[in-house]
Amino acid sequence: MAKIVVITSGKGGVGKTTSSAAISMGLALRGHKTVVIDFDIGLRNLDIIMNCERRVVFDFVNVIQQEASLNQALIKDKRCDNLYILPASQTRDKDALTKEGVKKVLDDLAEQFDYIVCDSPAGIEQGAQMALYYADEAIVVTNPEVSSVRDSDRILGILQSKSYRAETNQPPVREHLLITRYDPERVARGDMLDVPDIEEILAIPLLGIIPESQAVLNASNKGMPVVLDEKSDAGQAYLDTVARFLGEEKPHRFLEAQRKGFLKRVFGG
Amino acid sequence: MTDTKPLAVRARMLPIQRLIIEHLDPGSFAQRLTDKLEQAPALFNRAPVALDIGAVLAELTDNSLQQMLDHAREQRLVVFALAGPKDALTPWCERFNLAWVDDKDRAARASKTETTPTGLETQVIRQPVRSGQQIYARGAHLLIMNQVSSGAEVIADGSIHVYGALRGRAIAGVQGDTLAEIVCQNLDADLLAIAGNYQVRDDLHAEPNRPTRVRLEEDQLVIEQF
Repeated sequence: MAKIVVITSGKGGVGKTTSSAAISMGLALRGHKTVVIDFDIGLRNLDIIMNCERRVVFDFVNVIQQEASLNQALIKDKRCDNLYILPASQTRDKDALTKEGVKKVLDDLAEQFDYIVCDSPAGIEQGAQMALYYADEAIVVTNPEVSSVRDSDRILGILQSKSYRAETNQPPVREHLLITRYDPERVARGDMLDVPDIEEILAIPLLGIIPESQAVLNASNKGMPVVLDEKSDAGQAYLDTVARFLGEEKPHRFLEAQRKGFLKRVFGG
Repeated sequence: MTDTKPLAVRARMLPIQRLIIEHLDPGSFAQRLTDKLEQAPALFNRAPVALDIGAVLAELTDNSLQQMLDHAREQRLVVFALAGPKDALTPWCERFNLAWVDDKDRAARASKTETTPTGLETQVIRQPVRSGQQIYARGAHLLIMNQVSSGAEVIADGSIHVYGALRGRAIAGVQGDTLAEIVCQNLDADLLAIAGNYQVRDDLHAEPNRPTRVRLEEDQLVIEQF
């Protein structure tokens, strides 16, 4: 049985697409056949982070409207054989998604893949609701600040009430909390919410904490999911996250502010 | 350019007295009205009132309605609306420049007169109530076995109990039950209201994150913390 995983947040700019790319690549690296779908119709970005923007011929909307077959639209990742990308259409808008159309595509994908990762657009409208509608699991991406946490709370409410599982009285969508852009120094100064605060407000299990890292921006500029940069803190944190998602126990890392060395303190760093 | 805003809108839920008109004899209407007002002058003095004319709609004339309005207004009632079936009443409301209100509080009203408020049923919610969600326990108490997030709204005709953190808005006794209470394990609410009397977070004289009971005493919210 394929698992449908939605990466969602409500708020924009918190790292949904970065996380979708990293987690789907992480799952693929662990040997699971994985496809990542960009639901952000009209504002697609996943293809850039996955470095396949010049290989897009057909897209998700073409498949839904039966202008292309699924296999024509799927793009195989060049770095990992287990990973495929289904890009969003840049020229349509989110109304092109229908429940029936999305269901047909997901059903077809479920025959070939172990994990179907849905990269949700920001907001709580049609596009975001379509991305989460058929989900079995949800990874809610939150930054350590109040507005992001509130928007995540809103999305959790929608998962509970408007998903297919909720509407058909099945066991609820499994929810996971992923905190991104976590900056221990700013948390220590009190500028950002700390992890226990966020956990208390959202009351869902914590899956991972991704530190604020230069590596994320470098990786997306290079069109490379950050997990491929194994030396980076963010890459390691995403790999831990994937391991936890697959049921392993791993301690949370990168929570403490790094002590600045003597030279850094003298010369600034 | 001035700094003062010419207009601001505030919504407030307030209890409305609904006078149910059962037959159209102006004399007996005036007599019954006077009797009623003598029983509870404070309750009706300048009180917002809706005339429920659903039962007499068939025989109603402009003249008889005008007489009833005049009588009521002489007795210092503020008649501002008609209650009853909306479609049939809309032309009357327009002619007499009145608002329309629903007459659907009958069930709640009946249960209140026949039984004590504690006789209400209880609606139980087990999942967290998330931002943007609204839960209304119509004709019931509301029991939440989880948290209420900031930006969520929980409403009940009776009392509200939250066995978790209350961070959103809680509105108890929304049909005017002044005996309703709000009890929560961990108070951090955006707004508390009982029977139309409300306080927003900034006005709450309460320490956050403590078990709290809120009730109404002489139209004032009384906050007890443990």
